[in-house]
Amino acid sequence: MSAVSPRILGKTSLDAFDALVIGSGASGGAVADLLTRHGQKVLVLEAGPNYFPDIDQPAAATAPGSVGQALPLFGNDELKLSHRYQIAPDPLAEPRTLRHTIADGDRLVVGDVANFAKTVGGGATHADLKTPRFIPDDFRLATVLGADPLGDGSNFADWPVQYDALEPFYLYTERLMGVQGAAGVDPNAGPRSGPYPMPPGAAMYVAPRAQVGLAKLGYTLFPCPTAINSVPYDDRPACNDCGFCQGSPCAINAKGTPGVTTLRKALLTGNCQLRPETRAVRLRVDGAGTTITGVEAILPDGSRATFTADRYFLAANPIEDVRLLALSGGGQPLGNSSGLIGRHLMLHHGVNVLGVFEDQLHGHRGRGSTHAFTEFRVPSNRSQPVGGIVVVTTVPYLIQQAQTYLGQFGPLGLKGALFKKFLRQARPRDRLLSLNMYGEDAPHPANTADLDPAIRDVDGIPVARLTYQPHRYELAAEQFYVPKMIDIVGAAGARFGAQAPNGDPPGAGHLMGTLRFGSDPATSVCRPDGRFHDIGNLYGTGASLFPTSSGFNPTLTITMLATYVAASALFPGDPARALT
Amino acid sequence: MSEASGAGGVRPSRRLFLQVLGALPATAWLSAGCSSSGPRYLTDTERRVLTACADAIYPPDDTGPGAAELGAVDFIDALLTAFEHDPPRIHAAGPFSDRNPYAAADGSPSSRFPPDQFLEYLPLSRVQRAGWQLRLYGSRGTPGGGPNDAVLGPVIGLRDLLRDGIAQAIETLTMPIDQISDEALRAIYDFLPDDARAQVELLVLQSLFSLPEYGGNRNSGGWRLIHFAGDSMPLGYTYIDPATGAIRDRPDAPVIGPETQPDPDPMDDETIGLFRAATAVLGGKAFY
Repeated sequence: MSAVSPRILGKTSLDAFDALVIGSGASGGAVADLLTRHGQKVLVLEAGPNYFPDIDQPAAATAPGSVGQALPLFGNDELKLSHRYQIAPDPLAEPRTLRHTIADGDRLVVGDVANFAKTVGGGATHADLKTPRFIPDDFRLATVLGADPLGDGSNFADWPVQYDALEPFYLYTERLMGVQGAAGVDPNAGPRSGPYPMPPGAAMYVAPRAQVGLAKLGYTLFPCPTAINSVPYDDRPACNDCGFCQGSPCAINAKGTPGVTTLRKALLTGNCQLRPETRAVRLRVDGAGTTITGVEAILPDGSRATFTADRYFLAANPIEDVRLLALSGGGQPLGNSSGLIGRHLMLHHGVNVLGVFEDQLHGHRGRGSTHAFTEFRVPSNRSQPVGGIVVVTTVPYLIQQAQTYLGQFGPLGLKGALFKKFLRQARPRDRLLSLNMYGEDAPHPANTADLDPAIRDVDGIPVARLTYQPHRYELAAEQFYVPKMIDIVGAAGARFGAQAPNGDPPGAGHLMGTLRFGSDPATSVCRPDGRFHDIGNLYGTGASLFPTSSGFNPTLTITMLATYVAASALFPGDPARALT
Repeated sequence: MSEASGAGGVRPSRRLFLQVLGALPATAWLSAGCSSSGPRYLTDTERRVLTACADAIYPPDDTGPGAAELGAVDFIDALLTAFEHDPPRIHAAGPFSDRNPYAAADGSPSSRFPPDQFLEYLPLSRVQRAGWQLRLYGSRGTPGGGPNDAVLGPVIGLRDLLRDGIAQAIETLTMPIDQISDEALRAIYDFLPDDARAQVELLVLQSLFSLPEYGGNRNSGGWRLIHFAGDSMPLGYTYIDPATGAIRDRPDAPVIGPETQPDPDPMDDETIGLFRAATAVLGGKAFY
């Protein structure tokens, strides 16, 4: 099937590039978009396959059911997406390893660790793309909270650029991705200089059900900003609420993922070339170690080639960026005079409370989550821990439901005919309302990404290792807010409420940190414009740069910050010029 | 084989299994779940054991068929022989099946249906292919072995894992397998080695609730048994009212409003009791 063949996409005749971008997700797509708009010639290397046929062709509304762009090769297929690694790296082919502390030895776990999509469009492809902005205090948490507010070794730092300077980039990004939302409904949101591009879409039925409990307890539920079309927008159709959004790519391009927004726009300029299934494995550096001279990559057929450009942008993800830097330095990362590359890895501290209802919630219809509240994330309120945004959601998928029930209830005797009956009666999509808090994960120097000393991928290349555990900051917020979340589902009418067990690591599907940016080369890896302190033509881009994780879904801010970095490269000192 | 606790709780002892089998009449058996016409890896005996295991996990009863009749064994064999096709049958294509129509201009179901695009399969990338080769055939069946065999030991492929696991379980039988009734043979599931048992459980659940194109969930029967209407695309559940521009629910399947259909299977005391017990284990609250 040619649609997913690893053919070179975009302007295939280009052979000299102003910029080379490693990764085609939220960060890479944004960098490619901004640079190519300004005439820069950009090469994007993507390690994973492409499932967007004709991503580089102008829209032609030909297929029934499509608007404009050709339909992708996804579909409502839980098996291939959640169990057969269509877009996530196969942990047998590309494992990662995990340990909690260095005292655990080389590793505790090998395989599926913080597994993130590796495909054209990156992790944003399967995100349900809730896109709240960070709030102004998120950019100055060291000032608001102190560097180590609970004395657990955390290392908060203010961002070197603040909300006011980034606000125009937020607005630009919301229009680029197509964000639905309503201004003024979140009592804790920062100021805006313009409206959302489109109004909120259909509210899932769990939202008014949760609202019953939230209102009783004084919380404000609002439609969560989300990069999913509520109306036809940008050659893409409105969402029809098929119910297959949580952790799954969109079958009709209603979701504003990089493959149908930033990356596609870059390819359509004629200034961009995209090479899928091309794995960057080493940055070549000059003798002084201050200039990148090329990127060595493994091509789709397994052979190797080196690509060159004037500037290089790391946009894989915070773990794979570190892996590449470490592979390039023979185990010690390139550009690491600060000693901080790989440190301050943040995942968000996912906390999940379930309410059991006796009536039908039909949570398998809709976008997975449509509403949220933010009262648990007000850093300036020192009377409560700093948690995160809480979204109202459900448990929509069938195989996942069955696995969860057998795992949770099997020890209680659930098996055979009883299991069969339980699946009929206790249908999670109907009975379970889920409150998910994306709790802030404090930046901690002991939480790191580096290379595993012995484990390799199928190409024989050392894989990334996470050394990660939550600390007092995250656990205090969890302990404080879980009882409140249980009370909310009770007030909403649930018969039972309980916290679902945390995963290991207890992440929420978000990766941040490892290349924090700042003004001081002793305390940061990259400069305020994203450029490495040590290497003049190498840039960090999105989530890797985050000095702190906030407590909000990060994709909008990742895309926004990557745009800011690209704009800063073009217009040093005046990046907003790039938006005009 | 291990007699320790497995994924589903405390496992019976080998002695108990022998006692159970011994108490059952040695009736002739009828083969089940052998309708696949594609390539086969599993032998008839292996298929029979997996049929029994599938029905142990999800048995037939008066509410409907069990996992075996719904195609669990065909689903498993299709995965084990995925590489006998080009492209390998791992990732069905999509995006749509032919089970739902396109929406008409007013949002109602039209008379036009897409073809079933899940009947085609997507090519695997070089790295994906390497991963699935290793998963199905193991280090032993992969040129050069697995990348971490020296550190972690060889990868046991799913084909070998199931074959060897079934053979070990059969060794526990006290009489020839063809003298054991289908229903009695279901007890063999508890005597699979832990690693094979975990894989069989996962595969059976996948077979029940994945797209029917993968070989299980025959005629969408797995979905129907849990009152799931199935994949909804390209129709979806909402549409934009062309007259007003407002987003509207499908009246038969609302997103925004409450369910319009009566509850097909309300929770009974036993189901609620399980939730009560799980809530206690998790340290949660019962509100009434």
